[in-house]
Amino acid sequence: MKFRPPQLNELTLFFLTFIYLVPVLLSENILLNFLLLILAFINIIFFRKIRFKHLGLLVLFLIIPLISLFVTVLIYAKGAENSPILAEIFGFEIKQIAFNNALFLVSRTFCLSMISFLFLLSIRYDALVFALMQNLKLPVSVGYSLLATFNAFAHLKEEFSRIRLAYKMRFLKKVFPLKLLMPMLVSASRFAYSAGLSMESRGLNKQKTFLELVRCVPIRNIEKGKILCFFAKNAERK
Amino acid sequence: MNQKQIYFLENFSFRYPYSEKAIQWSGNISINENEILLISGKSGAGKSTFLYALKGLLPDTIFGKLKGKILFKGKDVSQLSSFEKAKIGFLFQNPAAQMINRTVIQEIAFGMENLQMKQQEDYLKDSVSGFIKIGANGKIEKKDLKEIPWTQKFPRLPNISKGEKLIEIKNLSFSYDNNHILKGLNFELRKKEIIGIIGANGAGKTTLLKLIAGVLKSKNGKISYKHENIEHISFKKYYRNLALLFQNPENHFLFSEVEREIAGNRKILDLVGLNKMQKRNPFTLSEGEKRRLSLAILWNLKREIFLFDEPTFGQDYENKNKLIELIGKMREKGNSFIIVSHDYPFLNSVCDKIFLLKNGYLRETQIQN
Repeated sequence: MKFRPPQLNELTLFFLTFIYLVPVLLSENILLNFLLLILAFINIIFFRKIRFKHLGLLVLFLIIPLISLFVTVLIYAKGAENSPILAEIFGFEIKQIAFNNALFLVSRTFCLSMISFLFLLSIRYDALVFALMQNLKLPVSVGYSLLATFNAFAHLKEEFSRIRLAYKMRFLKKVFPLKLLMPMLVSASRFAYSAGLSMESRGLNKQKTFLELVRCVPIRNIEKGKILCFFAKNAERK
Repeated sequence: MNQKQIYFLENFSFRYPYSEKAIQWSGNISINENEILLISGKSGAGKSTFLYALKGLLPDTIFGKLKGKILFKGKDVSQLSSFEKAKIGFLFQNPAAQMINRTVIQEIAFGMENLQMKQQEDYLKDSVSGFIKIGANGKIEKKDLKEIPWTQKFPRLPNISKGEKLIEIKNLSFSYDNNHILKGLNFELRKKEIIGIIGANGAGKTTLLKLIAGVLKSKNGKISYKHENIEHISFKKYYRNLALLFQNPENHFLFSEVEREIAGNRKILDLVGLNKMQKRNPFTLSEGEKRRLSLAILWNLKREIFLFDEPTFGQDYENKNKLIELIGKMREKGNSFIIVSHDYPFLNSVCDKIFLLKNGYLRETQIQN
């Protein structure tokens, strides 16, 4: 089996998230927010495969909170009293400033969520931990504990489905997940104990070597970040 | 032959903080190069603890009171550096809990990376020279190979007349992502019948149990309970007649007392030999006791059919005998069983029919009397 290193260091991808997020947080320009979102999207699809189904689900989940945010700002926006009226719906006056603020906040929230989620979907968690251990001196004991924790989720999911089925067969009713807290805690502690013993017995130590070397090449991305910040600043002045 | 000494143990004993019983060895024992040693004993006798001691995990990683000497190549094992300890390989009972990384290659590389290696050299030794037996009192004795009970023989359950047809499987097929696991299976289970299914790892034994339990659904074939397709029966009605015993008995435990697990039915505890453990926490029982308690839980449900997934996993000879006895008693009360296992001697002693699941097909095998 041939091991293929990732095309892009996960650490770079991780910091790239912030490079896209910070200008969105600083800017007050709706178009710039969307431009950054599109740029982030192009950047991601260039390196990684994205599951559009997941992105679609996020958009669905965001619709209600975003509408709520829009309406709330529209009604309670400060300083909108003297602003010109944009429209009137069922006797309610929509002020220009309130509308602009609502639209801007919605666009910012939407873009922040989408950019964060885009990177969350594309980052390989195990490669990120390896990159942190190799490039940012994350202690190996912490790094491998994190990896074991990620593995535990799959194990515990299996355990949960078995315990739930045992409950269903025994009490002939569907179970409220909180009722399975105790057996799940026992299962999790057993897993933690075994994983800890496994790491200790396999000689985990600081002087270890790595089969997969993750090299960090942040310069290009830092340059990208500088350019984006420059655009964001200019947009603000305008 | 002049053999190099690897391990030397002198008056070794270890006691867990919460245990009254200590694992002890009075005298000296040496383990030499090119030797393979078998350590045998009952469930809970301390076999794993003995291995932890050899690995140097006692008493710093696993707390307790350690007495005596354990020398690895002339050096006290507790004084070995983690780099030196890593040279002593250790394979745990539960492989799933031993995995740390996400991919196979990372997992294999992990040990080698800790040894600061880039390549692995693997060699096997094939000579068995002796074995160590750990008795019920926790005392370790060195025995000769001739004393090992190599073949396990269990008493066969008597043949009894079978009743009506309960489960019928017709042309059952199942596949995971175009991988055909089961291909056109046919068999039936009658009242008071015990059917065993044997097969290699990944043959589809557990998948078959899940299909019968209605956890998985098949697009091809039919499973009926009392002539009714199980897909048309509500889960409440179906599970009132059927229960599944998982490989890990802890999956059945929900309460903090043994007594509560079986809803206060002390008769059942007597039958499974756990009458003195009513107030114990089920999770703190020994492996054999846990297995018997999980059986008691299912028995207390008064179901008609039981599906057992690897019931003898991690069980010693005595516990297997108790299990056979229990299954016999349950069958006398009118229960039927489908048992999936790798343990052919066990299946041979309890089953009326044994099927071999191979390449997706089911073939009946001969029962040996």
